[in-house]
Amino acid sequence: MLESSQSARLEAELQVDLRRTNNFLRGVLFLFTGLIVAASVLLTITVFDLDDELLLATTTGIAGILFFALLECLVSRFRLYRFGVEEAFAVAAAVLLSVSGGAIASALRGSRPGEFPALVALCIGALSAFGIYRRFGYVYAAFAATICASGIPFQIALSAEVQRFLVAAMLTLVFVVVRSKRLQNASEPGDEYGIIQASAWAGLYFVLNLQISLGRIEGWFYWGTYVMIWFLPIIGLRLALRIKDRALMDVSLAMALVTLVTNKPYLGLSRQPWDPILLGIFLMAAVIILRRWLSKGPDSRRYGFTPVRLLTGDSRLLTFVSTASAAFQPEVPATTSAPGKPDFSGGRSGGAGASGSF
Amino acid sequence: MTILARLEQWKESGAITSVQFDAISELVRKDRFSVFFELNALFYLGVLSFVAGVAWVIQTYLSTLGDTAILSGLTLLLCLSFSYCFSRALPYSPGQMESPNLAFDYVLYLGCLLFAVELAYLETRFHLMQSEWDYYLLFSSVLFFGLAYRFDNRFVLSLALSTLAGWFGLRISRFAFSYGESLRPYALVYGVLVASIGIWLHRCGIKKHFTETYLHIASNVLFGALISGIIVRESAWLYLMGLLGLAGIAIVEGVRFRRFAFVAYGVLYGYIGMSVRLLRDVRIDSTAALSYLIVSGMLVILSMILLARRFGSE
Repeated sequence: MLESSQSARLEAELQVDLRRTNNFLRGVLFLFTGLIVAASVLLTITVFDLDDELLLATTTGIAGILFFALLECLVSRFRLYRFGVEEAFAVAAAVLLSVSGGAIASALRGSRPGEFPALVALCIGALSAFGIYRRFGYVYAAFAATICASGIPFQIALSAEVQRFLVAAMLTLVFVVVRSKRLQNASEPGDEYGIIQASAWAGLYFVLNLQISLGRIEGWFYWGTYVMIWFLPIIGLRLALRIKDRALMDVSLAMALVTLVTNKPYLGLSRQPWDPILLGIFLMAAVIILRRWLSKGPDSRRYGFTPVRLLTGDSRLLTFVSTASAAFQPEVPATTSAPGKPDFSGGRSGGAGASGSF
Repeated sequence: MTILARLEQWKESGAITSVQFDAISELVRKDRFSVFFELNALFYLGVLSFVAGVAWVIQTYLSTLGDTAILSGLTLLLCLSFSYCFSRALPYSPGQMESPNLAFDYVLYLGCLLFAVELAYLETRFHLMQSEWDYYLLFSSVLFFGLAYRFDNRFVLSLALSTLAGWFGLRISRFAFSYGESLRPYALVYGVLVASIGIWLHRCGIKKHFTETYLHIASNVLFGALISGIIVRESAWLYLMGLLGLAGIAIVEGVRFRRFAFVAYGVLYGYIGMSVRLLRDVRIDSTAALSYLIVSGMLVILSMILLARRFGSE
């Protein structure tokens, strides 16, 4: 769409006074900053021999505040933006404050370990992660806040049904609030609300699908969740297709697939060897039909949807998947009649024969 | 400012043409929304599910179905897949080729996986190659390489590389640091071979876009093998020298060609190897070990910041 000279000129116009880096260096910086933070806290604990819970709580609390101050300084003074270092400080601050809260709660409860320290840690974790999201806009902090908040009902002495119901209600609330914000800010760049909304939707599905979240619940609640795991992907897809929301669409498609895969165990039926064949044929046929239908529309599109690749980012993603597929080849059963071959002790691989036997 | 307002501004200033404005604003408004990746992902999952099901059915109903039914069924599917690909394929080109349609790449991948199932079945039932059965892996990988290059298919190339790894006794999905003593030389030979083939084909101008796939797989296997050598006490220094040399090459060449994934490999694997060697006889929660982690981590961060400042978000 744009010529390279044009891109360079437009990019120069969009320059901001923030220090950024590419995702690989960002990841390395994040990992090593995290390593330094963890080693520093452990070193303090080791050197000062802090085995008392209150002392531990004080140390981690002070460290959390200190790292938060460092984060603030790096962002406001050195203008770091998605640079890895300041992000590691943000994560460290939230984790250390949670640990501190949990340690204080544990100390207050005396020697009886129980659910209360975990409850306090999760509450502080949710609040601090949410605060970091509001202040610095890290989407994964919002995601972490949602996960921490979802863990809270599981620390309260309630029945399994009520626990799951509370988590589902909370995730639905997050979904509704974030969705309304997303719709209000649809014309703005970035899609952080879209990602948070899709995460909340995925979390809701995870909590309600008792086959994947390993819930031991029976009776009406069990069958209620069975109905929900069919409805949620349909509702999600409907909402996503209406406004062409990619994150929600992808999450809903994944949910639909998981529903198909977990349907039989939900009904107490045993899986048959031909089930994957049927699923595979269904998926391939659905893709072919959908692609043909979209392609036959005017200008190769219908309702704005096209099967054609428009952006180079799409093919880059596919290149990544195809390269990574080397590590995820299906386990094709191979021969067991291999006497006398050297013992490589590492197994066999590849599509042309893995471990296992007919 | 919204994206559309910015585009409008660029159009008015003449930075972009009206045609470009129309094309880009159509994407921003989502009047044209591509589901290319989703369709590809679903097709890929469909193929994997289908082949896994075929293998499971054969395993379960081996005695009921009989050899004739199984082999003729597999052969029929195989012939259909390959004949579809050969009949629809565009002429060979050493450069990058677009697939004739969305299904094409996956039908070829399906054919290759079914070929693997059929070979495995033949050997299991009829013991044609006896103790030399692992040559099936070599033969399969050669075939898959040929098909990957003929049809420009990265999925089949990855399959070829992992099948070749199988012939060397390696499993790419396995955690690489656990390579045993007997396996390590094979891993090193495999890594060097794959990297050499990738670079040689790149220099010959044949499917240059495949080179990164070769190098990613080769570097992960090589780094894993060298670190596993450092973990074991014999000749650890030799492996460490090799690891540091390789890490240096990965970082320098990664920076030179702006392929920062290799810079990340070099830094991470190099640091892990060095730390494993230096902290071998030290408790990880000791003052010395923790101080080492802080100081060395800071040095890495400083050098990474210098590098990051040079390249920005490139």
